Amino acid sequence: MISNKSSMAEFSKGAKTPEEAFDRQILSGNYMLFLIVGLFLVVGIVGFVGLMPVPGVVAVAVLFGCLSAGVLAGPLFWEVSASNRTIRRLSRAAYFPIRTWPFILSKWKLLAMYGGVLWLFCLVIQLIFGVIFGFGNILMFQGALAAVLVANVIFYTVLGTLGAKKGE
Amino acid sequence: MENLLEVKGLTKKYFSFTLKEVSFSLEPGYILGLTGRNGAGKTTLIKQLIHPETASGGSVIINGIDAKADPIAAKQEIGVLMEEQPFLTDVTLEMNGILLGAFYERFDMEKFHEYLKRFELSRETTYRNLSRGMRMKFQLAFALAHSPKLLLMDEATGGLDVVFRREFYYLLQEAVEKELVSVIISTHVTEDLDKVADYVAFIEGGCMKFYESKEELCELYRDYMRDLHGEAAGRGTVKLEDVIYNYDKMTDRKEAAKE
Amino acid sequence: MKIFISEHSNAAIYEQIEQQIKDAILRQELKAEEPLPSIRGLAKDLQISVITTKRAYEELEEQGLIYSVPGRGFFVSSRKLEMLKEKKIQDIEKHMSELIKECKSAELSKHNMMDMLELLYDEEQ
Repeated sequence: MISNKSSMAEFSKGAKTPEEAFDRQILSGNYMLFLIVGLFLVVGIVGFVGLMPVPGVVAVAVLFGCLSAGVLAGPLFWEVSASNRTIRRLSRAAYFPIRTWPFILSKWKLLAMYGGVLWLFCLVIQLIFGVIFGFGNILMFQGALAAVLVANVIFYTVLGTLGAKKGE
Repeated sequence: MENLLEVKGLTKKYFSFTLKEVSFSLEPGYILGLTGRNGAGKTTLIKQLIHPETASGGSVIINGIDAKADPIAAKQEIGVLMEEQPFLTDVTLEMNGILLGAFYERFDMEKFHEYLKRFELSRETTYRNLSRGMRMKFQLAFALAHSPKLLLMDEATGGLDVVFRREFYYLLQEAVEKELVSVIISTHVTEDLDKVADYVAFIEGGCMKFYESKEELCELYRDYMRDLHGEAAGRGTVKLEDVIYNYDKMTDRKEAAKE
Repeated sequence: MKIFISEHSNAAIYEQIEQQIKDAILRQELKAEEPLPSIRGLAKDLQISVITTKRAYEELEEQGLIYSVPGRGFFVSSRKLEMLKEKKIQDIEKHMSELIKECKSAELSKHNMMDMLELLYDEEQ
């Protein structure tokens, strides 16, 4: 986690292009969201472990959904909101000689990569839980989570486009 | 002298507002005051000078660069001072210079430090801790550090006190003298223009109503007053406010006198 | 040389600059061949338009009081000083004859007038 200002600066210094540095600088300001995601995870796990003795599939499914959604949607939310901030900032800085479209596209790629890795991570966890509790419920949630991810990507793209437009 | 800025027939159509065929040019080292009522199209014009690639028509040439064909190269030549600023709030002025200066090919760190010193700003303070006036000065330092040929100011000194504005315009004129940069100041406060503007453009309903040197406008007004109230009335310093208010009557009278 | 711009003056800004430079040349505060402040420098110091200072200089140049060297600025011309003095003396003569007329209408004698003049002249110093 990036907590103090000098390391924030270092973080941005490692960037190859000014666009990247700009982006990183703004992303680094969002570490609070890391915390929220972490909190999600902890609550999910503690809740899950605590409620394990409760019989019945529904309780397990709900908690499992909480956990997965926390893991998956949290970082996505973080990324979307950070991107949103970047784009808002970018629209304010639109008079800088920034190549806006490549910049936004590069962020889109980053997001897709981010989502992909998370999905894989979730898949592994879900497989483990699936082995323990059976796969019937898991497929249902898997579908719902896919929808969340796709919705996030669409939302982000629309936001990016609007932000860029506004900037111009 | 060759023009630094050449604007021809610049048009931007919005749903409910149109900037209509604005044309003008500006030589290096001169200050143009752009004025007009709120909503007359001042900000639209400034925006279209920065992003002519989004214009509905016309051309903008900055320092010989066709800004429509190569907007990125043109933006290298422009420094901007706006009320809403893009700087990073939680880092120092120095870091703002390093991070955001990287966008500009000609950004000169030494020059940046010089201007910060001249404007009495500490490199180590974070942007968040600056007052409004200081932010404006920082923006000017940042802009000048990348050696722009054209400075665009959009209501940049709005809401700042008279003493500060005086000091600010002094620093601005100093920079104009030193760097031979051309400036466009968009403002509805004509008192600022009374002091520093060399040329004055007045925008109304998306059209440029007039574009003249201030000296010329003052002369026109003196002639008008002399004509109306006799020799004594046509003397003394002229306020731009009066020129703008009486412009139609002045030109009508001049036309009538010709016939 | 210090130039002072008054917003309440009856003269336009360029006229005020023109007059004050003229006076400075007359008083020999600005000597022949001495450079004048640059157009931009003066505009900055007075917080006025470059075009205004340029106009003042151009008027002075037209009258032959100063001349410009491209790329180097404006300088005080040496030739016109005598003419300027003569012109000033002419102006004073004109003022004086008006003054005499007024004195006569107020029925002041020549002697009274001289006394008054002497007194005021000494007071000025």
